[in-house]
Amino acid sequence: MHTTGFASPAQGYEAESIDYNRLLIKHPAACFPMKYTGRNLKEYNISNGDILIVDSAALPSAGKLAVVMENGVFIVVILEKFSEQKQVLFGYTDGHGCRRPVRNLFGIVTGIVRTL
Amino acid sequence: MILHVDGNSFYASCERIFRPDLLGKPVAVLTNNDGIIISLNAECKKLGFKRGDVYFKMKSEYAAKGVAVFSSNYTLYSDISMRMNLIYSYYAPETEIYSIDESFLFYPDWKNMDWQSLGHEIADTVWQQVHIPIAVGIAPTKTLAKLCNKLAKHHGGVFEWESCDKEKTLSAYPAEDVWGIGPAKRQELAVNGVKTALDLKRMTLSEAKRLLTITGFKTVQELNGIQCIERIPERRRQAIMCSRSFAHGVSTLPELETALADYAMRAVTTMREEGSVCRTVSVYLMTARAYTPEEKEMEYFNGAAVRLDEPTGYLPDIQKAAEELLKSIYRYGYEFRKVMITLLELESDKTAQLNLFEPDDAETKKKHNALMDTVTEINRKFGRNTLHTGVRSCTPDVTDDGKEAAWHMQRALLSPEYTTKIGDIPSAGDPVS
Repeated sequence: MHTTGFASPAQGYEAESIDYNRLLIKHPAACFPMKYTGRNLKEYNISNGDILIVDSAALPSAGKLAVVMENGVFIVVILEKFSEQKQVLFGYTDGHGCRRPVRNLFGIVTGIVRTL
Repeated sequence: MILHVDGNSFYASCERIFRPDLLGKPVAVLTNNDGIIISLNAECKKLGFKRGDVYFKMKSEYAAKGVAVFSSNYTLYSDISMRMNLIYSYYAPETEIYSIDESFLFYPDWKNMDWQSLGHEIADTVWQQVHIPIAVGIAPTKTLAKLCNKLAKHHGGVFEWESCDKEKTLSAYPAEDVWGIGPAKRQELAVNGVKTALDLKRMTLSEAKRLLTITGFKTVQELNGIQCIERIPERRRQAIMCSRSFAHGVSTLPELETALADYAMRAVTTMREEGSVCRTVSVYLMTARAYTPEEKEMEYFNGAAVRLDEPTGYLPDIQKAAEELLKSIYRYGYEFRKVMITLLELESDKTAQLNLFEPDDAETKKKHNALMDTVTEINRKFGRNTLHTGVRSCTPDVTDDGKEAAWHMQRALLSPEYTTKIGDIPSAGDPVS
């Protein structure tokens, strides 16, 4: 219910609280949260359990972190240039040092949410 | 020009988004109470399963063929639907949400416009950003756009009226599949020599009106390329809307929920007094309108709608739908000025078409009606809000012994709320090594 009565003396001085959605989410239609369960991304300051903001509208490019679908699971990879073919522009290097094509890109990691 | 956009096997497609293991696998979704198959993807249809299958009778067949079966997860579907609508409103000057997975997009009649490219662009964007496959029908009227949409499913996702062989297309299209006609009219039309959409198009208007009433009259006009079914459908003008502007900005969800519960109650009371039931519920939420660039940052306007399984006048059902919609559009940190509920697709409670596949038993229906009548009566005698429904946020979802509260639907195969509940978000790990 809305309040009635005398206006608060603080009225007119309220600051808008910071909207973290606005900081983290560039494309509301296309951003999905995902939980990172891995240990490979220490150099990106991403730890096991961090929440990733995955943006399916962000453009992929070499060097970006991406979530891709591989063997029935979501994995986080560092995109590399793969080939000039239109179908497979990007690839990644797997745990054995093999270069693999990215065939099912889900989105680009554009943010991390973490509480300490 | 009108584009009709429609998600392919929408519920099943939503279930697949966050399950990479189901890529290319058969998926099916059950109705509210896990009774009937309501949505299946192409892979599942290929195995011979159909919409309307009674699940408990065919459970072993579904299991044997490896179909992933889910309960309806409306929270997920509403969220995905809202995302699609955001993309549609980005692309079109004007949009109308017709159901959870269907919208009409309205464009001026631009000359030399490549509508098919636009259709493909919208479909590609929705696929890339929301991961839902859609079909696009493009035509000068709503009826034709809907017809083109059905054909689009077999034509690479986009079908344009202007670039097809019109007579051939209509003569291959059964009359009862045309929007607004329906299988109930098939027999009567056939007797009068009307079997295909082409026959329907060629009907004289007087005959159309005699056989199909005013709806048929409009359908025939629309098949002839004349816009007759208005952008805002007539029934929306008869929609019941209830809203109030708040004196001060309201920013918390519980406050909005309380207000919305109150408006839902009022809207349902009005609707019942008029002897109507509704099929679609929509909720809109807005801040004060921005007039300067600085204010733009504080502006937020969003709406969402849901089409119920069957027409209803039962307050708890409507309220639950409204609450879920509110949750899906609520954003933290804004000062809201207005919340609004609209009940759409009103029809008489006497003639309301019940869900074909899952008719509520008459006894339950009678009890619901008696309950609602009693509530109305008590509130009339003792004042509005003497009796009201509990707002969900105040009622525990789980009882003391850890069971789901009794009012919950039976949804044993419910998938996680991937996009709306922090404990339910999907996981992404490292590449296997």
